[in-house]
Amino acid sequence: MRRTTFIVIFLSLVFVAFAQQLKLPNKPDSLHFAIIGDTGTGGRAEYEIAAKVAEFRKVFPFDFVVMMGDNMYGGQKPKDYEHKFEKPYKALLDAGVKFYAVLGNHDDTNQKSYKLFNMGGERYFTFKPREGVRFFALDSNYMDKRQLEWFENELAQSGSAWKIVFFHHPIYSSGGRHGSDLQLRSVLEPLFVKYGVNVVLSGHDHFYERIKPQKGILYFVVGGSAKLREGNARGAEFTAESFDTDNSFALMEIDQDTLHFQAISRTGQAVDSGSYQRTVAAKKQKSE
Amino acid sequence: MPQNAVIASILFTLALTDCTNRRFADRVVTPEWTDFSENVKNYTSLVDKLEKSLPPLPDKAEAEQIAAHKKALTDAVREARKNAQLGEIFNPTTRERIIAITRTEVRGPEGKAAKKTIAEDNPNKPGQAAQAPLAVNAVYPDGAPLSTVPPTLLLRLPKLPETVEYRFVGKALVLRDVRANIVVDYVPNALS
Repeated sequence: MRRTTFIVIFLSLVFVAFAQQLKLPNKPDSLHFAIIGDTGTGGRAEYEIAAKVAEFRKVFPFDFVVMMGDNMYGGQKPKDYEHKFEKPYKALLDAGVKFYAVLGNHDDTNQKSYKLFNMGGERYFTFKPREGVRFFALDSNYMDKRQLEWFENELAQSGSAWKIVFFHHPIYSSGGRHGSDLQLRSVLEPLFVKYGVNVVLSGHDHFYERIKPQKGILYFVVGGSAKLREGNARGAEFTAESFDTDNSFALMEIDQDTLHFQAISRTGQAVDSGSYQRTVAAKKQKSE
Repeated sequence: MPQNAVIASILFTLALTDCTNRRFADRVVTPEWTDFSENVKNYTSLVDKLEKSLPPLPDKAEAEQIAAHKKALTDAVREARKNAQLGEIFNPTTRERIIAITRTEVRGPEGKAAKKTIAEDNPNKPGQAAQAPLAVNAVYPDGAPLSTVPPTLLLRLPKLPETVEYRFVGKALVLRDVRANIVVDYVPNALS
């Protein structure tokens, strides 16, 4: 009896501790999801981040995770899939959480056929987790005419109020190693603006960074979920917040016209949080 | 103002408006080179045929299925093309055209961003150990990063089927088979 009481108290304390760190509204009927990037090292940091993501899911139940690419560094053999993805994320996979990946510059293109990455055999694809929200996954390694035409067509057809695009290379980043991909920006940003994209998620630079809305669009870099480039987020005039002293991941919640976000460190600390209201221009679009 | 001048002024304004509304991708003409397209088609048809003789890879495959399929296809393609030579896909004319386009793309201050993109994840950087072999029919190593090809350059090169792609390995522009993960052919010194 005493032991049971102790366990109940202990679990309650754990729950309260996490609930306190959670800065999101956590409404039961809003859309919850997690973001990880540049994960595939198979190293300790990846496992620790994966464990933290799973811990947060206990208080912030999300149904899916979006992966920003570089899902597998080095070897791409079956044992690599196991050590660099299936094992670290076992708890989430066992709980039925779906992962949606994009390809990074270290990923074998054949990953697109891997069932647990849910890419449906395509380098670029879309999915709609609920009415009014559509995700567009792109292959930023190879933005050819075919992909651009496909993307524009999908954007034009989508009447979703929330259009969230994710791909590996950031078009806004203050990273000293990589930074903003201006080439990619020149072809993608006009489409984002024209079709009312709201949020853009990327990785590649191994840290977390939130960009001040550019032309009404909110950008995030979530590329430090296993690798870390300390001190590499140099900050730019477009930087709203950054974190490059430890590994990190992010959680997001869409509640009607508002997106709430929180970035969390390997130790579970909230390193950034806030909310973003959809712009008036985007709101005018009819919901799907 | 004479009527002709008014009309000319309206047309000029309309043309300007059209230019500013058009995206970069719309302003670039993607070339079509028949001989090159034919070579690519011959190659992809061969791989299609070889792939049909293997157990099909489902869209939701296990890691083991992906690895087995890739290995079997790589071996089959390499065997079928064991006598393949440099220039089988990129003939001398195509090679010259590609060199002209890529060098223009990275030239001068305007080409700085493209140059940076190409250099960043290039597997064979100057002064560093090469991570990817530059040879026809060579396997592109799993651990080697794939160079990002600037989208502005991709728009200026002929469209390819989804199963092959342009990549940079050192200064060479490589035609890489996505499915079999091999170097199909390459243009040496495409960058300089």
